[in-house]
Amino acid sequence: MTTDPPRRVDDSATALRYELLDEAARIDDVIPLALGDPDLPTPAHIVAAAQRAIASGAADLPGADPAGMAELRAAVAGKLRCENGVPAVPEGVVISTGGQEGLFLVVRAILRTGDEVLVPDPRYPSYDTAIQIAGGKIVSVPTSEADGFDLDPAEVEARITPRSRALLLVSPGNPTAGTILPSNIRELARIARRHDLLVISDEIYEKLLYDDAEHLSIGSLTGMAERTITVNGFSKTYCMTGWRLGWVAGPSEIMREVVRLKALVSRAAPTVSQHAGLAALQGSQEILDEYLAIYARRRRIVLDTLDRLGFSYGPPRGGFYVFLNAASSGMPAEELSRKLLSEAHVLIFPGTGFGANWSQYMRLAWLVPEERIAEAMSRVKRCLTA
Amino acid sequence: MSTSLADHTTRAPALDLAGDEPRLPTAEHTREVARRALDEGATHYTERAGIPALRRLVADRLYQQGRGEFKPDGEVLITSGDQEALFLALQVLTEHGDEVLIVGPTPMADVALVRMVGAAARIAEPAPGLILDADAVAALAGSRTRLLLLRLPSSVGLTAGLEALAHVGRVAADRDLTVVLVESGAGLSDDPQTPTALTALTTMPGFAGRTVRIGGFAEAGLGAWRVGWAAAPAALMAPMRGLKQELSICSPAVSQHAALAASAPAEAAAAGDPSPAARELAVRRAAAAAALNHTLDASGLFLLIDPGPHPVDGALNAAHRNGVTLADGATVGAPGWLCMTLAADPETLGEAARRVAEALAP
Repeated sequence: MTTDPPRRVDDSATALRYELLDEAARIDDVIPLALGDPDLPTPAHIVAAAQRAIASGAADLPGADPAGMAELRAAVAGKLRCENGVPAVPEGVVISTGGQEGLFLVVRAILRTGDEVLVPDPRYPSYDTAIQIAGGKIVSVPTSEADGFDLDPAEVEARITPRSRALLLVSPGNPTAGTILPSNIRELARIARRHDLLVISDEIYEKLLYDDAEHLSIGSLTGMAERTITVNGFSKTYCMTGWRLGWVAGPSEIMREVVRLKALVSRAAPTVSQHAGLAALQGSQEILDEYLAIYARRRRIVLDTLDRLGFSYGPPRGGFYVFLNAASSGMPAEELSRKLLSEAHVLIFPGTGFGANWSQYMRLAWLVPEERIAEAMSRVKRCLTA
Repeated sequence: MSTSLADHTTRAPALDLAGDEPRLPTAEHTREVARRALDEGATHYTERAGIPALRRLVADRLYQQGRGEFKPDGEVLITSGDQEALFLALQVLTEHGDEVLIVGPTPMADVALVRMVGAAARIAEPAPGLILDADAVAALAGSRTRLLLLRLPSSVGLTAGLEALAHVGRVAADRDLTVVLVESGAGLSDDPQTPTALTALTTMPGFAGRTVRIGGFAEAGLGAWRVGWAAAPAALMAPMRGLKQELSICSPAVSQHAALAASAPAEAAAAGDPSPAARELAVRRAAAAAALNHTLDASGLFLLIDPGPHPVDGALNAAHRNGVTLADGATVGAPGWLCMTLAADPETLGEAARRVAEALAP
């Protein structure tokens, strides 16, 4: 017997994060190592393109196609073909109002009530909302610090049932910053083909890789383009969180339904943002190397401090987070988070903001200037060693 | 949402006035504010409910215009356009299998959206002359009816008298319905000429305390910027806010700043932008000169053109071949009409009307 999908959001995890943010707003000189909102600016050439679109009136035009501007869809398809090896075409691309909306629409397009979706644990809570509201059932696949929160194909396959419809991959991951090894990506592709699963591949942190981490788009593998929907956006790579622009790409018949849903949910993405996105893809990518170098320096400061404090963590191989194990502090992560906020004036989210099983973990983001990172880690160290 | 233009095109159109949403130009002062906001770093997430100043503006203007008293915190939500606000409301305020009673005529998209969220749409058709038929509404309100959806002002000139609205309000109260009132055409001008109905609804029994009000900034030239608002009692707003966060986190930052700027029409007038009244006058003159049978929708955002003896599809094709792309009026709840949105300047509107008349000539 199936039950009707929930109408509303169980936003307890999100509520916790925002409760802490509200508390932080009431305290002086809090250093926020919490939200995934890059402090670095949107590159100047992207802003300039948007300003030109505004000045010329191009930003006024809503556009006839809720799938997005033709030029932007073509640019996304080109990026996927050239950079990711995914055989994308413009007709298979839909521009969304943020990557999160794109994920929401895809899930709505492919799921029927009772369909199961295999998802990694821990994960960003919005995946749960999207899947549940679409009538799907979440099947959590555990990951562990021991292997850097990689996704073990055997753990995935062990949880497949006749109701399994799709597999959600997030690499680099949030909150874990782990990446799925290319060898595991290939095995997951074989599993998907073997069990006729769709794959939703959230690759929004794909450009933020450290050390020798590699990103492999599952949609590039043989037999996968026809069953993979790639979700991505501009927020994290190009520091464009406020522009609310993302995209999804996949098989045309699925994308046609995504377009239909997009029109109903919010019409086309903002035209001004689409012009900015086009400039992001077509312009110089050099600044991304600068940004990555900045993140890498900050990452080093954070990890050095965590090592000295005796906190373990899954090696953060992508993104701008570390998912640290605070067990050695002797207190649950939420209690530690509140202690650090009230005594050290440093905000770090507890892992329960990303799943009930992660009460020992915390997600730390390095999205403030280097000197503030250093100050924050110094405060944390003083607080915990006092 | 509009009929596929690809079905009608034979070449790139010279004047694209299609689409079922307003295409008013953004005022110059608004553009300047938006560009400045970008220079000043409006590229990050905003508060998820919207920037406080814009929420305060929405609350203040609604209050000034007698359209309700809402707290900016907890009762006003800035959305990525009015369509997103409508989706949020329908998704969280209905249960699977509920009926949504729509006061027709209605855009096709409203029916599709109701069905998308798992509810059933029942449309109360108007009385002859496009007059709201409260008896039809009452007759359709059944045990499964959960929500009433009403657009005021209507995009197709539905006349909603106060007595009829009061009757509808009694139905809503009797059946304990939530009301979703889409008032996108009313705007948030500080020069209030608010339709009497919108003001009266605020205190009518049956509407007060159970109504989600939804609007946008398209009539201020920001249709393509995707920014809108919803205002509702806290208990109705809370789940909408929750879903908004999960769906799109927040609304576009630069668009919110633009909406703040655009809501000061005194500045726009000083900047010399053609007012809605000037555009309406221009297009009416042009349509009359072209001997087109037409009507302007109640919101002043669309010109509805009678295709005469031609079927709508044929008329659209003919217009397109003559260099004007229009939309099927069904997309705005006016089946049987051609729909032309207001374009950048009155001269373009006039030329478009002339070309349409030429295309439709026997």
